[in-house]
Amino acid sequence: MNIFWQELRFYRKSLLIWVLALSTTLIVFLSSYQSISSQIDVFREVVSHYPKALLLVINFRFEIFYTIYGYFGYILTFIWLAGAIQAMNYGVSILSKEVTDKTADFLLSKPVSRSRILTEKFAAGLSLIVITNICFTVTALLGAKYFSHSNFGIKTFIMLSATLFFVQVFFLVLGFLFGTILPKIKTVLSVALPTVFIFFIVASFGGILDKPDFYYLTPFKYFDPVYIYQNSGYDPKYLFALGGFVVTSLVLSYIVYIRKDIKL
Amino acid sequence: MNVIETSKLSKFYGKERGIENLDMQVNEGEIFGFIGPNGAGKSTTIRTILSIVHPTSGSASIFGKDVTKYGPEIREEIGYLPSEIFYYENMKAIDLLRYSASFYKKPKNHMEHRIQTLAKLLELNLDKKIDDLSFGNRKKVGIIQGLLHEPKLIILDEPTGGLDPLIQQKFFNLIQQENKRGASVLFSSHILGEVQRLCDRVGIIKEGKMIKVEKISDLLEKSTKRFKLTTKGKADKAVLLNITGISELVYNGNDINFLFRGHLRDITKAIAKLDLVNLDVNEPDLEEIFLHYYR
Ligand SMILES: Nc1ncnc2c1ncn2[C@@H]1O[C@H](COP(=O)(O)OP(=O)(O)OP(=O)(O)O)[C@@H](O)[C@H]1O
Ligand SMILES: [Mg+2]
Repeated sequence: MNIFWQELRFYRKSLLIWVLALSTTLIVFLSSYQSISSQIDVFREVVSHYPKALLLVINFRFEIFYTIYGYFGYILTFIWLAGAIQAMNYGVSILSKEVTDKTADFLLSKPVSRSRILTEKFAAGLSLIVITNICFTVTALLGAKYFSHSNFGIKTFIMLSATLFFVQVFFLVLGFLFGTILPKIKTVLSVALPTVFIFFIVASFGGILDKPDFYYLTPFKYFDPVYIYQNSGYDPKYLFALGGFVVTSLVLSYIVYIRKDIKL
Repeated sequence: MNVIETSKLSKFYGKERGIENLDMQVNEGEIFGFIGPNGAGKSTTIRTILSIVHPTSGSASIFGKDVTKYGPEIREEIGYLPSEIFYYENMKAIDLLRYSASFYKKPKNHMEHRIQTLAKLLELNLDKKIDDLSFGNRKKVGIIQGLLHEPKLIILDEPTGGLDPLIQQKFFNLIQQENKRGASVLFSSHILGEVQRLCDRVGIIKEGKMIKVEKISDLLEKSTKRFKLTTKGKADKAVLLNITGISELVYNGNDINFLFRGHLRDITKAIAKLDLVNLDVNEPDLEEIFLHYYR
């Protein structure tokens, strides 16, 4: 467990910054909920002039927008994007930093197996994501309670909030796979940012072209706030897609990393 | 038992040759020098037996156990100083060393004590961030990290770069102490003088192949020496005739010059028959001997 704890120590500062950034963004958005919901007719009018494509890109769903769920769901699109970058960052860097810092020889000459290194590092990455989400959900609940003034179903709200976790797990795992496969990663962001945006663009095009088959390709389309609101649950087909992706990628990561030559 | 044994060990990076059919034995309790020019394959050999890279073909064992099957178990008893300087960002030297210690089963307080003792000996301030340390001081962190768990096998990949002569001396003493305690040492270097002082045997690696393994004493004994003699009156040429190992023999008045390679006993016996006024034998140093192999 020593690698696990050490990794948590390495990332505590970054974790703090991300949690603060995500929470602040959320609070800023939530604080404008009241003014928007009180002028819903004006808002409706304005939004009706927006191009349909734009509404699709920002995941704007009119059906429930004026409820706290709908408004939260709308904010989540941006939170997902930021959270995806955070998660991908962790996934990629937790392995690749050993190479860029030239610490791979240090770590691999210790009495540990490659699979133990990978397991502890993945567990550390996952814990960072879990902590982020606990903080985020608590902030969301407190924020909604404070700003919405009406009662809201806590369960639905938590289910919406937890979508961040699933999106982050997707990108953590993807980053992890990149970290094992790519031989040398100079700067983590140069890998994480484009990847996240590609997935975001695919999601947008899928929406604009109205091609639901595209939705399987990107976690940004796995969680539709309206669906979650109406069914009090997640769409199982996308949960399977996510589960399948996570398992496949992890297995692949182990296979690659165990056989890999670690370069200087 | 051999502490390290490789058999036809090859490592290719794609088409690039790292090492090729390398056979090496390091005996228990010895300090084995591993000498070769840049790019010869020293680091590749070391990283292969540590399973940091995987062999293309051939096999290697440490403590009699196959390195690919028993990696973690074997590495419990290995201390390794990589040739490249490494550091985790924002980590103090003491944090890194404690992290390093946390991998081993040895008693924690024992290792902690070792860290402090070694740091004092090498004059290293443990509370500094590794990023802020000088090159040589980072090397010291590496040395302590490799020795803190009292390993049975110490692998040093060009350990002396950046150390000042005083610290270097302390480091050599330290290695000798560890060796007396029972540790075997694999010492890779291209600085030949240090090998001469420290090692029992040396292996010379060139272009990925082990081309020679010899005892240091044999190497010096069997090496070429330059003889310059001056005789009283004209020398009897028959004396040096038919002695194997003599080359470049030149008579110049009363002076005789030649190179000799072989047992000194043979040549001194012969020379004894001459009426000498002066005798000058130049001991070649290892550098000269190795230049011969490097060529
Ligand atoms: N990751 C790598 N990819 C491709 N080739 C490599 C790699 N690492 C080493 N090599 C090649 O393998 C050969 C042996 O290199 P190695 O680092 O083992 O030499 P060395 O004896 O340690 O040299 P030095 O004294 O410079 O440290 C070199 O020709 C080098 O170019
Ligand atoms: Mg080297």
